[in-house]
Amino acid sequence: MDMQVAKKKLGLKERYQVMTRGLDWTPSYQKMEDIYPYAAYEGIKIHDWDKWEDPFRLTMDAYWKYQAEKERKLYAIIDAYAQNNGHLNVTDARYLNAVKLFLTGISPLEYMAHRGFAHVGRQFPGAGPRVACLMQSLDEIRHAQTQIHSLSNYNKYYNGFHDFRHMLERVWYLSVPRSFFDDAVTAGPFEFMVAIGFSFEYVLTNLLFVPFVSGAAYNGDMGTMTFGFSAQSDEARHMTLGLEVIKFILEQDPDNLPIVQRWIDKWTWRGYRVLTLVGMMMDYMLPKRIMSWKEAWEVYFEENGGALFKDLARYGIRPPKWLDQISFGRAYRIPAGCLVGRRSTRWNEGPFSS
Amino acid sequence: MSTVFIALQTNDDTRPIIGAILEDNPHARLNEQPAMVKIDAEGRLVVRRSSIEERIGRDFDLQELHINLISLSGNIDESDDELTLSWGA
Repeated sequence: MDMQVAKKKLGLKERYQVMTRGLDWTPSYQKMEDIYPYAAYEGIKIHDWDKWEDPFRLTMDAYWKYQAEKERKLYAIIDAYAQNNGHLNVTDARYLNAVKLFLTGISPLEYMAHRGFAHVGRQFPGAGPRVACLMQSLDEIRHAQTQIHSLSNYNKYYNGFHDFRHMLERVWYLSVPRSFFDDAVTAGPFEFMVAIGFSFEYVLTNLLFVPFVSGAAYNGDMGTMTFGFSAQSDEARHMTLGLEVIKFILEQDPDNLPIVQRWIDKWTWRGYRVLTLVGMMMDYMLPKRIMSWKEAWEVYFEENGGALFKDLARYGIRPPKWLDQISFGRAYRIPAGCLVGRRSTRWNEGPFSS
Repeated sequence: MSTVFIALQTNDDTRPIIGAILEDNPHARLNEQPAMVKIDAEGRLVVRRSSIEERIGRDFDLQELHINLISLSGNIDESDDELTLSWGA
């Protein structure tokens, strides 16, 4: 009798192929355009959806395993923080204003991102990006929940944490983040991907979650530090999705380039306007600072974004418009677009258009 | 040449990973910040499973990196043995 030989496990690449391809079917009595009604109207042309591949090659089973581990770590720290009266150990009471800004301006956007990715995950005809959008949709609702959960401990002791969702629709400076995501989720699926997956996640999200969250740690706020880094660990995957989607769209058809460029211009500018909130938090609200908004901008936007756009130049993409205005804003400490008056709250226009 | 980076939380899980990355990429620079480290490298950075396994003395799945990963940049290619970050230009 032959020896039983243990079957060799599939490698990462094969496993990804097996678990993300051939999951959908070709409809027989419905038209594709009826099943995916939003796939064509933006003018983006896709010829072969199977060309899209997640470079992390994460499959659903591995996703649950690692997300569960992140949650276990997160809740261990949140529990310890609450049990040890951690709220008394932040550097200064003023610091909590930054956290209120986060809870009102950012956390509701996480929830909107969850809704947005659930929607485009349904609307893309390709199985690969659908799987990635499903994971991102789950990540985003996890972020909203863990942020609300972590910060609920402050709500037991301090005023101003109780009604963040209500505030989002009423506080005037929050109209900037609110309008940003309301417009993104009502765009078509490709524009949403460029707006959120690429312009926001890839180009701008490091500025939100890396220096500010490191600053939270430096100011004794373990709750924010842990949900922030836990969220950003998913962002690494989201940024990759955003970059891959851009490359995929541009490789599929030359007609896609001008449409994508226009979206990059528009959404980088609008994202910059949202992030002025973070500039405010970093420059004015951290009692102990680790770096200024200007320094963070140089590291994460100019250096990192510069490398990105240099890489994308081979597709014909140029850096987003209005970079000169953005550099002007950060050099002259106009961190909060929301602080400099009516004109700058016209977040959906170019900087000096009337 | 553009810079790629990988940022990891500072803890016991990542110490051997950071050591392995720095050894495998002599051109990389370590940048320590509160609660995190950022490793910058010109052009290309490789994370090797075998180097990490040698340090921790057990099998390691590169996807375990996700647990303590904060952020990264560059085009990514991951296989069972290596995670590579690179900029083409």
